[in-house]
Parts: sequence; structure tokens; C-alpha cells
Amino acid sequence: MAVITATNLRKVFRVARKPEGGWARLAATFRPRYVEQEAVRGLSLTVEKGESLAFIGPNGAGKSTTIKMLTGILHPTSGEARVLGYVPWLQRQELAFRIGSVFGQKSQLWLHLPPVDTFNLLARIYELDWSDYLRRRAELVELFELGDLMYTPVRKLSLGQRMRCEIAASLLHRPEILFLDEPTIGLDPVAKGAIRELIRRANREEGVTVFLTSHDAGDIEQVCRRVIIVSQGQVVLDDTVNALRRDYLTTKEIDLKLGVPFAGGIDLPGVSVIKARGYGVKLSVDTGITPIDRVISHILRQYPVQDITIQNPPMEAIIAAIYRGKAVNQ
Amino acid sequence: MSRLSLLGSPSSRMASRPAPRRTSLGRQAVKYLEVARITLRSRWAYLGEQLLARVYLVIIMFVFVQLWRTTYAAEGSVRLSGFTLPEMIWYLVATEAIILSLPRVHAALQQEVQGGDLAIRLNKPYSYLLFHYAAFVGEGLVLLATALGMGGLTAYLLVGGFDFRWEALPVLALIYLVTQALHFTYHAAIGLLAFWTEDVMGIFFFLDRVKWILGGMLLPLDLFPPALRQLAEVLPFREMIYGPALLFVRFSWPAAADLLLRQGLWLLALALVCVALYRLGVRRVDINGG
Amino acid sequence: MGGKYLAFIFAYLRANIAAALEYRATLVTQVLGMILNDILWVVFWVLFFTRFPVVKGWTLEDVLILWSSFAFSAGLVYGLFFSVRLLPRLVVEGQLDYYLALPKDVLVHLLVSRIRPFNLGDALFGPLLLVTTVDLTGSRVAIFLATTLLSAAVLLGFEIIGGSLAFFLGSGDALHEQLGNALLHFASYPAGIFDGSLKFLLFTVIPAGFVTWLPVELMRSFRWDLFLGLAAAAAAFLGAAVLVFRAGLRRYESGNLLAMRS
Repeated sequence: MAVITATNLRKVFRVARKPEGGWARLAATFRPRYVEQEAVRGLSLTVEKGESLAFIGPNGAGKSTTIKMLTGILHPTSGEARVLGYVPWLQRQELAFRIGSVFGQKSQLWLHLPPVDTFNLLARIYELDWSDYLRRRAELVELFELGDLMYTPVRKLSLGQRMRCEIAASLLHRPEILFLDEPTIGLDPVAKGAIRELIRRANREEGVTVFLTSHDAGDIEQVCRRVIIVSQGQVVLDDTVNALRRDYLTTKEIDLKLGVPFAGGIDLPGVSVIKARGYGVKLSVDTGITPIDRVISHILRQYPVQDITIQNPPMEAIIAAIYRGKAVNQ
Repeated sequence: MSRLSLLGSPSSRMASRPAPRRTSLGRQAVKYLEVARITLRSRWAYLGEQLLARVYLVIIMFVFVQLWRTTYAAEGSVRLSGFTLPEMIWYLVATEAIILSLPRVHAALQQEVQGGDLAIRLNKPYSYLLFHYAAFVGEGLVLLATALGMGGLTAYLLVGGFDFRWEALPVLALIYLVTQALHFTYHAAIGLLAFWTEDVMGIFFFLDRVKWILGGMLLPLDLFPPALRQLAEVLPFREMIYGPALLFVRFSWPAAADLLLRQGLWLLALALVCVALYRLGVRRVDINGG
Repeated sequence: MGGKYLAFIFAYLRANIAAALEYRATLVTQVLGMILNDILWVVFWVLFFTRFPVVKGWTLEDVLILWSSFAFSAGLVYGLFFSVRLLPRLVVEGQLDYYLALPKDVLVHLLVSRIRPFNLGDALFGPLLLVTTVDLTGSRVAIFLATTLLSAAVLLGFEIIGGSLAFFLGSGDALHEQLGNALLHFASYPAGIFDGSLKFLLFTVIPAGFVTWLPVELMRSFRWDLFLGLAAAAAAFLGAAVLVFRAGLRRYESGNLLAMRS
């Protein structure tokens, strides 16, 4: 069952231009000049119930505009969309009861109060039945290990703890879709891991459909199964995260520990030495030119090998390559 | 941030740095002039916004004119406590211009003291208070220009001009600068209380209003009951608002000399208070580790 | 539905008060600071009327009533619905998104989302001034409360309309502030000093007449026609406010306000 469908969404902004300088700005206050900017140009997508989707793209690609249209905050210039059966911009409030959102850079928790107060407030906003709410809250407190955090003023929490509370807060009303915008921004690696685990759990255990934007490749790799890449207001790629890795991973990195010091002699096309120091060597292999098995057998013929690791390059590199490729195409 | 630099006394700061020598007075002055110039220019870039924000001065002046016109008519006299109607209005233009040309230095100080930016500032080769004073002057001059321009224009259109003594302009300019410095010390001293209290804004709000009333911002001191006038006589607020505004509408050389002398004494006293508060505060940060 | 809205509004009030109580000292100085500020204004008027006892029929008592009423109504509006003052900024910076994403009426949600103890000092000062300086009877107290609440409604409507201009102008922070300041100034002076065509302006665009002068007039001598006029003005301003805000919100949702929100 599709929970989100969007067909040919377009959004054109009229943007006022502010000139430099005191007097010119004064004049512009009375007679502004506008330019049109097409932020989203004919975007279509479908998301099935229970999916976990990474919605990514460079800055200015139209990500947030799209999310705002899908949550009903913005009206599209043209095109159609259905979210949980509602037309978001016409039935925003009804939809709001059934979706949740987390914005990494903007907290919904009250800074000077302990999270439990914001939770109570949200229960009123979402009109939750009080005893249901208390049960649900207890459930989330346990699942997210919030315990004492619930009674500590938010300003005294670490960013990671705060984010855990944020996500729990957005799940209070059992949303069917959770929109997350940069949920791990600014967190340390351990906290990032914890947050990703929580989002994954919400998705796998509660069946919440996850719609996530992030610049952090780790968020995408570790949370999502599917990825949609937008660039200049259009979908440029829509595939599973695994397929993305497979198709765009034409390079691999081989880490070797040799029995003797490295002395060169691996001159195959598409293979280059990234790093070599004593017994250790790191190679980069373009598997489109020379398959990985041929490279390995070549090495084994020349050197005694004590240890070998084959790795994919980081997701960042893949995505950057896609952006570059598409930018060239356009 | 080294502990030494937090001590803030010039000698210890010098000791922690490898080379710097005491620069000449001239170079010092140029440094602060540059600070003033840059703040002035950055404010000037927003002239349009500022003029828009000054529109409410038109309303204030209009209301004042209505109030006093009615009052003069009801009293049936040309002069009230020596003021003609235009003089009264221009007196209020002057007091508003003085008050509205004061940047929010107390807020800046509070933020830097409590937000910890002070530590960074202390590491720079300038006097913290003089730096803020220079910025205060630069920003204040732009504010003065727009306030005086807008208020004056409104007054001129509504009640006409008055007998302004153009030859006294240089002296009035000097008096304005001293007046502004007086206000700076008052505001900065309040801002520096941030070393001891969380809530500088509340204190400022109150002390600022005390200054307004006892300084004669809305009503010349001549119209006060005698007891209150005597109180105002021994406080510095008179020199901060009433004195310069009165000279603006009714200039005389002896009065100017007298005012400058009183202002100078108060400035000295308040500046000493500022420096003392600053020294004590910085020492406190050093002891408590900020 | 109504009950759920009340529960929601009280939940906000509770959270707001709890947040304010986190900084008790600040709260107390803020409230006291505002009261002292008001006292200083009253001092000005006392000084003024000591020198000039009657100005166009207005006496010190009239001005004291004016300040009691205005401090009370303005204190309630700005204290309880402080976000209305932030409306232009919320609009221009795209921060209404937050309210739009939640399942409550945007205007109501926005209004109740933030109280400002600073202004609640005003709301305290108003009745305090009235009780200490003006001769009161039971009916006068009733008239004071009724007229002041109605003028608070006018003020709230005026502020919502002023803030909503940002929807149409794209900025408008300055304009809203100017309008607010204008009202503040006209409303805090005796009506007697303004005349003719200006009075018309002060009962329409800048409704100082409804916000303070009618309450003072009604406290002097009560008249049903004036009272009903005030009530009608309150209904009109609030009604217009809701319409203007809704129209503005539709524009906001079309997203043609500013580049910042993409």
C-alpha cells in the first residue's frame, strides 16, 4: 500500500531581490524586484508503507520544499500528491495527527523545562487519551532508555540525549510516517549510532514509514533501504541502497599485509597504490577495468600475503560521484 | 585561554606575549577612531531601515505638540516657566535625540560577560572598555543623525524653527560628545553588573527610566515641584539630558562653561566606577574560572 | 472539541509558567521592572497635572484610569499572547512551519504558545494603580473590568492584523512595530489633546479611541450606547483579524513570501 504518492510536483518561488546600500534598500522596500525560481520541477515518487527512505541531494536541490509540500506546509504550483490518502495542503490538520517530524536543527522541546513537560504538552496538542498517552510514554521511555533524562531540564542534556528525546516525542502519537531532517547533525559518532538504531527500530518494530533527509552517508547506509536522490528539483536516482552500492561501486579498496616489504610490481590497468609503508599496502581497484579476482591472484603470485581486506569506498564518495555525473549530464 | 590574560591587567597581558611594546598615544587614538569609523559605516549601510524605524519619532513629536499646544492654550500664556511653545518642542526634540542615539552597550556587555566572549576580547591588544566606547560613539552618531533629522523635521513642520545659535554649534557638538560619554559610563556600569547578577536587563530598565524622569526627558526640570528639582540638582541625570537640551534651545556661553565643568566632574566619577567594576569583575572571573 | 482545545491551552499555560518559574529571580525583577516603569510614567503625569490641573477637561484621575485600563489590557494581550508581536518574524523566517505541521488551529496555537512575564507586570500594575488611586464602587469595578477586557480584544485584533501584514508585504517587521508604537503613544495620552480628523483615524486605523478613551469615558459616566459600540468594535477587530490572518496563511502556504524558506 502506498502511503505517499507524488506526481509531477512543481514549485516556483517568487523571490524578492534586495540590493546593496542604504538608499537602494530603502527604495526596494517600496518597489521590490522579483525573480522566479523553480525549486521543484516535476517531481514524482511513491513510498510504500513501512519503507525507510533516504531523500537526499545537494543544498538547494529542492529537498525541504518537497517535504514541506508533502506535509502540507506549502502549496505546490502544480502537480498532485497524496499522503496517507490526504491531499496534504488541503487536509493539513487531519494529516498532522498521523505524521511526525523531527528537525535536527530545530528543537520542539522546551529548553528550560524537562522533556516530560513538553511530552505532556504534545499529548494535548495531539489530543491523546491521557491513560493511553501515559502507557505510550512509558513504552518509549523504556525503548529509548530515557529514564532520568525525562526529568532533567533540556538545557542540561547533551545533544545526543536531547535528540533521543526529540525522536521519542515525535513518536508519542504513533505517527504512520516520520519525517526526519538531518537527525544526527552535530552528534558524535556514538550518539549518531544510537540515534540511527532508534530510527531503525521505529521503522522495523513499529512499522513507521521513515522519510529521512541527511547529508550524512552513515544515516542513509545504516537506516534506509531505499534512496532517492534529487538534484535541481528532479529525481535523478531512485533505487535500493544495496543497488546503489553495487552499481556505483566500481571501485574497491584492498588493504594488504604482506610477508615481505612491498617493492612495487603491481602494474595492472585500473589499479593504483594509495598508500604503501613497509609491509602494508593500500590499493584502489577499478573493477570495471580489472576484475577484483584477477587483481588478487596477481598479488598472490608475487607476494606472500598475511592479511587481506576488501572494502567499499565510503557512501560519501558514491553520492558525490552521482552528483558530479548528473551535473555534467545536465 | 590562559589564566594570565584573564587577569586583565596590562602588565600581565604584556608578559604573556612575546614582543608588543607600549604603542604611542597617537597610535592608540587611531585604533579607537578606526573602531568608531567601522561601526559608523556598518550602521550607515542600514540607513534605510533606520529611517523607517524612526517614523515613530514623528508620532511621538506629533503627540507632544498636541499635548503642549493644548496646554499653552489652556494656560493662555506665551511662556511657561520661560519656554515658548517652539522652544518646548525643540527641547523635546533634543532630549529624544540624546536618548535615542544611545546604542545598547549594556546588552552587549552583559552578553559578552555571561556568554564568555569576554575571554576572547581580553586577548586582543586593546582596552575592553575603550573599544566599546569607540563603537558606542560610531554607532551613536548615526543614530543621532537620524533621530535629530526626523524629530527636527517634524518639529519644524509643526511649530516652526527657533532662534538657534549657529555660532555655538562647535561647542554644542563638544557638549554632545561629553553627554554621550556620560551616558556610556552609566550604561556600561550597569552592563558590567553582569559579573554579579544574571538579570542586568531588569536593572537597566529601571535605572534607565529613573534617568529619563529625573533627567527631564519628558518635562523640563523647570516645571518640577521644588523638592524634586532639588533632588535632580544633586544627581548626574540633569547633566545627561536637561542640561544639554536646554543649551540647545537657549544657548549662553557661561551656561555652557558651567555645564561642561559639571559634566566633566560626573564623567570622571562615573568612569572611575566603570573601571573599578571592570577590574573587580575580571578578577572575579579569574577566581571563579568564569 | 472545545474541551480538548481548553486542555491544550491550559497545557501551554502550565508549561509557560513552569518555564518562567525556572528563573524565579529573573521573573521577579522583570515584573518589578515593568511595574516601576509604569510608576515612572504615572510620576510624569502627576508632575504634569500638578503644574497644569486640567487639560481639555481631562484631570489627573482620568489619566490614572487611562493608565490602569491600558496597563491591564496591554499587559494581558502582550503578556499572554506574546507571539503576536513576533508574528512578522515568524512569517518571514518561515517559522510558522512548526505550527502548520501540528494538528491545531494555527492562529490559536500561535497565540497561546508563549507568555511574557515582563508584560504580565503591566497586567498586575493596572488594577493595583486603580485600587490605590481612584475612588471605587462595585459598579465602577464592573465597568472597569468589562471595558478593559473589550479593549484588550480590540488591541489583540489590531495586533493580529498588523502582524499579518507581513504575509502580504514579505517583511513588515518595521511596519508592525510602527503601528504598535503609534497605538501605544496615542492610547497613553488624554483624548482631549487630539481633535477633528485625527479622532477618526484614532477610532479606525490606530484604534486608540477604543483601547483607552472609551473605557475612561465609560468610567466617568456609563452609557449603554458607548458600551455597545465598544463591544461591536471588539467583535469587528477580532473578526477582521481572523479573516486577514487566514488570507495571509493561504499566501504563506503558496510559499511566495521569501527565498529564505526553501
